[in-house]
Amino acid sequence: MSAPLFLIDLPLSEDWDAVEAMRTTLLGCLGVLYPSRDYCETVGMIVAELLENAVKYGAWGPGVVGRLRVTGREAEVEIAVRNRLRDGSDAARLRAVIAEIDAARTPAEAYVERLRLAALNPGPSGGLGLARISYEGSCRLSAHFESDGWVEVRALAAQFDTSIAASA
Amino acid sequence: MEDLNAGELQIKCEAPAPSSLALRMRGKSTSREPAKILMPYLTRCLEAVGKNGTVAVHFEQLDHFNSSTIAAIVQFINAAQDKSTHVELHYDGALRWQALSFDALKRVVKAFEQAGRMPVRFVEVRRT
Repeated sequence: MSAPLFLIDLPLSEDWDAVEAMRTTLLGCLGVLYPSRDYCETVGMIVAELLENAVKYGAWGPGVVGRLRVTGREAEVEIAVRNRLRDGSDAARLRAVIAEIDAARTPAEAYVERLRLAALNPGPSGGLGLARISYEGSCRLSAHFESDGWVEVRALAAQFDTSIAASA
Repeated sequence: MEDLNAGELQIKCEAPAPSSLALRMRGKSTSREPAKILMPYLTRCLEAVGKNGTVAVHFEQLDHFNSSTIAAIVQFINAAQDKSTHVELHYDGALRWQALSFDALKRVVKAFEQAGRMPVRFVEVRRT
């Protein structure tokens, strides 16, 4: 694996407005390194969807600080979001969503099924963001559970274009 | 119908013909629960054009939306079909994220159409 071009490591709270601030800040950084606007927007989308999930479904309180870690390499960007889970059922639900996405014939199929469910059941669109990441981001998702109730969800987004604008 | 201004999301409402509305979205739709903002407004639009009217929603000037917004769009399509109102969705096919999002929406709508629901018109445009 090649050496990182950049590493962004930011603390995460339950502040919803911070999600969009982080996405747009990251877009500015990515635009310097990667020539494809589509790729930069895709990585920004992945960051935003993972952060939104963490803020919405995480267990937050005084002193609880999550992390956003974005590691950029020449050919790929890894996004990792770490937060505390509310309870064991959240972990089970997250495992189930990722297993469902992995089991689908294609990422598109998993995403379309989530959209269909969203149409039939108005309300919180559980799992739609993760299915979107897999489909639009063409990336594999993984969740790493820790014994103290924390989870880190990771997505690896390979570049659409192989060249980079800046020489590292 | 009035325009909608909700933080970083703006919707400009035009009435190009009787029983027809064009909604031009600009900015970003990133709120925590976009359905709470969008559905009351879009429902009023559906009521304004009535049965067999048309609501055209233009996304091509929109910079970004979250997946909860996509869920709200699907719910809007469902509500329009319940009211026998025609829906047009205009998007920028040159933007990868819009092309992929609306391609997935087409597949969902196609499944609904096969179950006898009203068709939805998808219009791919290229913003200059």
